[in-house]
Amino acid sequence: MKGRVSRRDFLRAVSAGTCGAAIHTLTSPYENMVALAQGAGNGRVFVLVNLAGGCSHNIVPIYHGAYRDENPTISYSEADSLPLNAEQGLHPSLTALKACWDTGRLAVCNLVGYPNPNRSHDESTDIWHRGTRLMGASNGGWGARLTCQMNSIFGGVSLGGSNVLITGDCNPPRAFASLDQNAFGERGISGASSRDQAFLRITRDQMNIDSAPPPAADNYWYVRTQADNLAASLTTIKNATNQPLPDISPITFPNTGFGRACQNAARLLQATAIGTQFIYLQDGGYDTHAGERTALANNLTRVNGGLNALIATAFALGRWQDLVIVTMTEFCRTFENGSQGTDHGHAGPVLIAGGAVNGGIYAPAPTPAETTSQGYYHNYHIDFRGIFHEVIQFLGYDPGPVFPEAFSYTRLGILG
Amino acid sequence: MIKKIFVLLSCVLLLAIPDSALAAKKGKKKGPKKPKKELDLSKVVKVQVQVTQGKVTKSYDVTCYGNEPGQMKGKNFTPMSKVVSQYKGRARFDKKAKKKYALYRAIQKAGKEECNQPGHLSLAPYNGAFGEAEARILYDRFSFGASPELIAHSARIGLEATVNEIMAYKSEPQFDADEIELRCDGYLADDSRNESFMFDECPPGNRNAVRDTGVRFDIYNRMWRSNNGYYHKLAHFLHDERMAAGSNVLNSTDRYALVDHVAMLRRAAASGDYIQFMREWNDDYLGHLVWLDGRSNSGDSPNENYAREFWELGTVGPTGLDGLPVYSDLDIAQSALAFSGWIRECADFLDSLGNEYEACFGAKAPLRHAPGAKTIFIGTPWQATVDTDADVLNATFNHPRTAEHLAEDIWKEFINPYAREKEIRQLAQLIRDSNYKLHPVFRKIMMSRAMFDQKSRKTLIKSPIEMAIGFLRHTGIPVIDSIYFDEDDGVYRTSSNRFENLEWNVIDELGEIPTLPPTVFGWNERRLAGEQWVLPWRNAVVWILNQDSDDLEERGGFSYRTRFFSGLPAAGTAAPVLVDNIAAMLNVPLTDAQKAHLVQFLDYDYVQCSNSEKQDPTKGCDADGNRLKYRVFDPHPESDDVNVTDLRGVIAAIAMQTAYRLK
Repeated sequence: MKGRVSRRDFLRAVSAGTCGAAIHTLTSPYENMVALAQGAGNGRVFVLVNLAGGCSHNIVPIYHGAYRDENPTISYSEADSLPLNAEQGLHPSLTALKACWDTGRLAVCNLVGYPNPNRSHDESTDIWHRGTRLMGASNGGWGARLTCQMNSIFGGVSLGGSNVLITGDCNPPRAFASLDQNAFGERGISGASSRDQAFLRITRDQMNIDSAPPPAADNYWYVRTQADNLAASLTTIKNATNQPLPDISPITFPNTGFGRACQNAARLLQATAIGTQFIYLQDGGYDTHAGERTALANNLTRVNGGLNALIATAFALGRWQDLVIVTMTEFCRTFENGSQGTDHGHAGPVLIAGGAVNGGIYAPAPTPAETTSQGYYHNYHIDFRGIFHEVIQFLGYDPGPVFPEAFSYTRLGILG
Repeated sequence: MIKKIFVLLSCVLLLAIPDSALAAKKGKKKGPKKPKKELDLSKVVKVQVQVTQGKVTKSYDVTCYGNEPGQMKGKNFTPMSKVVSQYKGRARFDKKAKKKYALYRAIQKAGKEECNQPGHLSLAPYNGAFGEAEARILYDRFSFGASPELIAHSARIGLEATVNEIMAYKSEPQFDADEIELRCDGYLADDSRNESFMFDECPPGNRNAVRDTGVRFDIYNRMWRSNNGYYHKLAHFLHDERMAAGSNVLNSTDRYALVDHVAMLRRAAASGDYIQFMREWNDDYLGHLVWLDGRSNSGDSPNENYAREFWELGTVGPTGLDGLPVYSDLDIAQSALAFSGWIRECADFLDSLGNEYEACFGAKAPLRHAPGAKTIFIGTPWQATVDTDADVLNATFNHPRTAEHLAEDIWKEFINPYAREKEIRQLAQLIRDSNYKLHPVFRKIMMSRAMFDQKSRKTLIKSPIEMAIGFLRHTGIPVIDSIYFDEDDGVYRTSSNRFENLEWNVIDELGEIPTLPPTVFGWNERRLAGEQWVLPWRNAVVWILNQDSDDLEERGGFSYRTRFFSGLPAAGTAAPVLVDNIAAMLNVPLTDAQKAHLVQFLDYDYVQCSNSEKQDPTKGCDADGNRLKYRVFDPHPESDDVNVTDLRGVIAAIAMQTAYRLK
């Protein structure tokens, strides 16, 4: 046992790797970590905010009398919302986005969807996440196909959990619960010295290297990859994002899950060296089948607080021009039901904010003629993949491999 | 015409020749009778095939010998090809023989397909070896893991007896008593805090004297310690993989509904009656009326939430095996109308102490029900006219997709991720044949080739609950109460009991708290095995291991030394045996190199190099200035406590391997 040369080599290599000093010859998760973390993108950053559950009433159709009649408790008047034009406004909670609108930096796309819509959360989310209906499960999501083109291993970071959108075989976005050191600090065995702890970690890392090769493309392979990705990325991203953020007082990041995620997004925006260009955030609770008025106000207040601080930080860092924030949701909702809530609909709104956004309404508010008897929109004006096409081009990448399925779309010119 | 008559006469003459004459003719060429070759029983597999003739589909038993279908009579195997050939000639002019020929041909064809079925896709009975590895598969998949002692026992008694033991329900009086204690306030009778809260919060007769944490603690208690792991696993499967409901939507007047919901899951697990389970879902206050908004679904203002999930998750699923939608939006709208007609009613009640309390319930309100006939599955062969929820249930269970969708979930939860359309149809037929009674189906699955085939092993991702509870059951390490000394009263009191500790430090960290699902879809095991959940698992394992070993011994009746060091050989040779034992206990296969690393961890210290050693390349100092120093692992009682610390490190390292996350 004493003569196991590879062990000493490994110790040296790991020590060198964790100090970020050298590229060593062993194949380990730490190999080339620092080099791999350096991106060569154009510096632009795309923040995708998924309002999970189906959120359509962040946009308020104001002047449709029939709409107000059908939605007595959940609709808003011009006076108690944030008007965008004579037709419609924003939900009153979304003051940060209204400020973007006022400076011409918010694009509003109504009725964004896809052909043959589906009103199931699972299926519709799946379509939004995969970006296609043609591919099998193993082909993962369009977020991962986007980051596949990026050089940095941190080209994509999810602060909103793991899902199909960020799943893929080629440089998929890394998912972190938090970037705070304490949040991913590993617990040590009590009673063991710090050197013993180090010995245990090294032993475990060696075990990973010497484990039997996993069978390709199944759950074993997936779980193994997740563990390897984590091991490879923790130290690097921790060191890269631990600089204090600029002062944006009196604005602060709210102490909510979404607020903290936005704060971490701001830290990634600041850490230009690691080349993060795609950040996925998620906020839940939008499946408002009952009591929508209160629930939606709470939800969107939470989102607004986080985005407000993120936008303020982007300005403070001088990165507003590089930032584009896009909201998505799996479908819109129906007219009000019997429990002051709404059910599942089809196409919904997408909001795009950023320093390079050409503000305006890109697809008009739905008319009564486009509404079914159940109160959802049977039509869609924009294929969601078209919007992301433009965003991907803004980031300097090729949208073709990201959305390989043919779809109908006319360029809108939202960015640039 | 003459030619035809000639052929017919030839056939008749041929048939008229007695068998003995033919035999005598053939006998000339025959030598002495060769002794019959004995069958290799490991190649014998009994399968069932379905054959459709006209409009009738029937099941037939077929024996495969290798890849050849046939029939067994006693110890004799007759290939189907031989059976078919017996009827081939006669089929041309004998109606009965023609029928039999067609039937046996069809059985031969189906049998050939079945006999060539890869093992991991075959539900035919398993007749391979059954040892500890196979017993672990059963306990990891159909329970929450098992101790090494139970695994060894199972290996001794064999597959069938093990399945019988797993499926035998044992009464749980102690757990039932604990449940009443726990659901009242989250504390057990021997918990010091129980005294002060007992009568304040749990007045007898008050149905809403329920804490949701206590209900969950009862769930953990049974999953962890009960001998009915199969039934609690099945209840969790129904909770997670079908329609999940969360207690977070209940207010103080509705708390009892969580107890009712959990009882419904347990009834379904006990009976295995899936139709009855969905029937009860239709009346479930928490699931249907609150969580999925059924209480606000009326004829004139429908809410289709429940109708959608009843189909999408509970029964038929959104798309068929052909990828086409099973139902349309119009079907859902019609179904929602059939489900309409509930109302929430609240009333004051008296508990047995005479105190008034309010409770709300679901009640049928005929005036809120949409009157008249509704049509569902419109334009399909299963189109049905319905009026009530019972009608929707009946029509839905007549739809072939209901069994198929259930088969899909069962296959991917309990067998492997590889099932194709054919296997799903086959399992669905079994489900239908048993009239949706799941226990016979699970028995067949547990004893199938697919269950134990090498290609099925370690292919399913464990849920966090399976990981956490499984770790406790595999290792026997308990989670114990945290206590403090109350100086005012001079007694020890509980600061957090074992279930609070388990939930706060382990289960919550891993993202799966029963009765609090993120959505009606339950938990996504793949997501919860994602990158962001790797570290929480490591920390959860270490938290369990970091409980004070003296406390574990004193109050948990658990000793690391007794559990892990008993029977180990002498120092110097103990480390490899210990590593093997732990790897087997946790069902984590290790490579030789991995074992060597762990043995090295046990038999060496990692010490700081002196300055002179750092200068000497032969001393093996690494870049951090440390080196290995031989210090043999000594498991014997007189050795110091360091061994237990190292032991915990080894357990943690093995539990953190990828293989532990899979079953």
